[in-house]
Amino acid sequence: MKKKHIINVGELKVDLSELVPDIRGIEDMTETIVKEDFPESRLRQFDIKLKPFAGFQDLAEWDRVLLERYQPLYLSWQTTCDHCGKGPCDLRRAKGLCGLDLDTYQAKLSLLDACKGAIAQVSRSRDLLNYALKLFGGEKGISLGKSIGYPSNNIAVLTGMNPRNLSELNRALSYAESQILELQASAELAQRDASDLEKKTLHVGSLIFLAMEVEELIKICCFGFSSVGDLELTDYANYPEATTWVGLGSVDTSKPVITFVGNNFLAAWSAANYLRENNLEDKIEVCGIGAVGHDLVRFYPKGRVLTSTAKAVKAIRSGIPDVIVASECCLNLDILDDARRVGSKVIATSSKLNLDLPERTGDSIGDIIDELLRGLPGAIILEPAKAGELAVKLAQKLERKDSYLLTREQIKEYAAECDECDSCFKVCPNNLPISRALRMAQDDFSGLVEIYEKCFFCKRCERACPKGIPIIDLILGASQEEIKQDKFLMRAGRGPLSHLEFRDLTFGLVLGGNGPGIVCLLGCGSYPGSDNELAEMAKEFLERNCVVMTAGCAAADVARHFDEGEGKFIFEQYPSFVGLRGLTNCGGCSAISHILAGVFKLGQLGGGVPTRANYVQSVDYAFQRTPIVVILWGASSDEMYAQAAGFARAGVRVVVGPSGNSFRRYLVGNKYDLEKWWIFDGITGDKREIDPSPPHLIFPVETKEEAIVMTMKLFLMSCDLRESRLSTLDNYTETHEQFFGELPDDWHFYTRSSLELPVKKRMRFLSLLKKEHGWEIDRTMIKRVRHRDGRMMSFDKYVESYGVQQGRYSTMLPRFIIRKGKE
Amino acid sequence: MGVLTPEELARYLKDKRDILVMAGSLCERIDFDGKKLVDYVAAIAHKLKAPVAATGNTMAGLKEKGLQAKKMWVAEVMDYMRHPWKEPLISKRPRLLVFVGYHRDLLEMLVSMLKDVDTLALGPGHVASATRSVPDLSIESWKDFLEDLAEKL
Repeated sequence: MKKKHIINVGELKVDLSELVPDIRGIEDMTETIVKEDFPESRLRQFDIKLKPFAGFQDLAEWDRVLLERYQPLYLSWQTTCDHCGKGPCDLRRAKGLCGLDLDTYQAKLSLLDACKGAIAQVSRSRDLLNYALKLFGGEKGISLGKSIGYPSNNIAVLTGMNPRNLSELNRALSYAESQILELQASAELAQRDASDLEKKTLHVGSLIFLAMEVEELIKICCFGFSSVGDLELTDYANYPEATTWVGLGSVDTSKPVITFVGNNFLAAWSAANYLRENNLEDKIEVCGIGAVGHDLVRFYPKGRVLTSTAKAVKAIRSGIPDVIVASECCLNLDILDDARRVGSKVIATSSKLNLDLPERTGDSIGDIIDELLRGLPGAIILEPAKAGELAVKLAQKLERKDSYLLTREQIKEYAAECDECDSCFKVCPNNLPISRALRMAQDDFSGLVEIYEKCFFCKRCERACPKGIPIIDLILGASQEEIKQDKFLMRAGRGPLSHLEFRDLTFGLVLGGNGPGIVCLLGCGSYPGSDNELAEMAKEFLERNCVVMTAGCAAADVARHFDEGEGKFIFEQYPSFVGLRGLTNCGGCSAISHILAGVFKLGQLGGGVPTRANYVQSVDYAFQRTPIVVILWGASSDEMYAQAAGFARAGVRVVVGPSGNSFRRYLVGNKYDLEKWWIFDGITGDKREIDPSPPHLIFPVETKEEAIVMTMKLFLMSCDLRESRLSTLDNYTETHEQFFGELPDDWHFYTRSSLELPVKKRMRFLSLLKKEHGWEIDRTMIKRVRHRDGRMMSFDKYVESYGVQQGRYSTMLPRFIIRKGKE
Repeated sequence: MGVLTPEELARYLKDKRDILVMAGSLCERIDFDGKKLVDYVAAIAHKLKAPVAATGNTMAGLKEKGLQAKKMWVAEVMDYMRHPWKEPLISKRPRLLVFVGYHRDLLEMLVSMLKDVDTLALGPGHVASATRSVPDLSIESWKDFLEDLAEKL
């Protein structure tokens, strides 16, 4: 029989054993959460269920609601299952021998993809936590500073903990590790239900954010990464200053150059300390590629970010780094081969890299350097401090050529070998006319330069070329001037989002301000098309009064915008606060966790929704009221796949592009399926039909313009207040017309009142409602409306039956309908 | 099934009804020395009297060509294909989807997951999972193929 644990909250007696699925071992924690976070009124109003250390089943009530509306749409060429000895089974023709159908197989692969991504992240967080425990001990405090409050919402919503020291972080991470292990194991077992697998994938998504938050908290609290935590609000706008150089052209190659690649910053941190201690900061250039680059500049202001991980080939093959210090990467890179071509030496700091190099951690630095100078291409050094010191000393001793780029004559010689078979064109993910550029190269390099500007250096063309032409070297050699000009200013990451900023946002967006919403620009940089696409998107959103945030590799691409008129880079132009027309760089990849933590914070501030062990109510609130869209541009890692699931589960809409082929599964709504669009009136409990908003949860787009328009559309929410709807509808219709030359076909679905129609277009829109949709309009008044199902009804009846009353509390789950008599 | 010549493909298409042309983002970006891919798409759709779902930014290039075309989103069309058909661009669920202007990797994924509909991949590149596909072609021969096809329809 279940043992009761009664406590008093105000005048209410609460049985804690009824609030949690299994209270054994967490009695004290549950009591603390209830006493500190849940006032009597909240316990009386709602059917509260706390889920400390939540398993996927604990949160499945929310996942079910989401997946019923936003059905998984699978895009995959893997249609034959060979997961067991009975197969292979071609699932396009029929179910597999085990009964598996194509959708369930895709759901299984989707879960495995997400698990792969989460394992990479959790393993990285574990390495860092173990190292921090060795260096600082379990009692080392975790606090983000006075301005933050609720520093660890990703951990809190899932576990019920707000960790105060490294030991408690260890407990939180151990929970994530055991969960992911269980979820991956379940993916390997026979499965019959796609929906069950997708719920598990969503849970993996939440867990990856927990692991990222662990990493980020350690970086700030133990390793001195930049953070706004202790700043006054007035200092945010210019913190950190936009003085971080980004791009290949920003490096002084007359000095020795050390370049860190990968996701582990510890060797870079050690190298930075060594440089400072030995007054070498001005004598050696220290750069980073990808995540470690964005970490580097948070503790070493003289550091530079060369490029994203996806474009590492560009930096390495251009010959810039003398020493490459590589840790595990989110993408597979052929670092050793590329480094060999330009004579750079590689120090690998992780056994996970699987490089064919000798492990030399135990040897003296002098001996290792001697061998490297004699021709050894690199070495594995697993102790970060030693790797950092070795990198500095080696860089000082290496003698390399001034330039590794091909000369004009060499380019012409190689280009003459091309017989225009177009093997390169056929494999190029951007369908770039490479052979045409090679043909032109005898007289003119402009074709190759154009390729340089659109290429993300995947090297498929080189591998496909039957003549073995080093196409990447030709592209780089022809673009020497462009490489010199590749120089931009960025703000280094600032870490978390503060309490006060979110209080402002609650009024600026959630409670009816005039900003369309929050856009987060993320991604791995592997997008075909112009290098400037992210920067152009950032500019467009800022000009349209959005809150713009970025983190990870995307931040360096955002930095590429330069305003000729003002003579400023984009990070110099816009202030670094989380507010309308603010541009914030949170930091490296782990700093993406601050964004989702902020979504839970909006629920806390806007609706008083406690976060600890209260995931479902937190996201139910945020989903209805937070206009936030994440754009994953050039996302290609499994980690990004898992992150997209984590964002979507929390109600954050995700746009994936360009080309839309990075992901296996999208979550797509169908505006024509009227039964999918409903919400509960939170006070009466009536189930009400709503407009199809937000229209999708994870959606692929092909172009930057599609991303902008879809983002505006995804800001739409059935709970929009008047100003928000006006602003969103205005931006959605305007961008659609601007880029595609016509109005969207569904703008009238979102028309709830003539006062919410864009002011400048109001008369035109009213006229269109009359002519094209059969509405009855009297001057500026809507008299009768044609409902989406074809019925004509009076405007009053329409308002009464379609959508929710503005500002009224609503929910997707019956247990959050306010109990009668307790309003 | 397989690869066809422009003549065979023209014969195949003339027998088909309820065709929807899907014109992707490359239609605007691929330039055959002055003539864009979107121009060929327009010519083919015009001959087929088929409506065009213009995804990516293709609508801008199709607007003035007098076709029955509409800005759509590729994922939405894929989603509509698995539900009772309600999209007004074409009155019935299409029986043939003609894809032009999509990256080959994406196209392979799109056609692999479609059920109960024929698919034709008009390039660039051969798409093995499509019901019919152009062969692997160089840029020049792809242009010739599209020109031939438009002429023979």
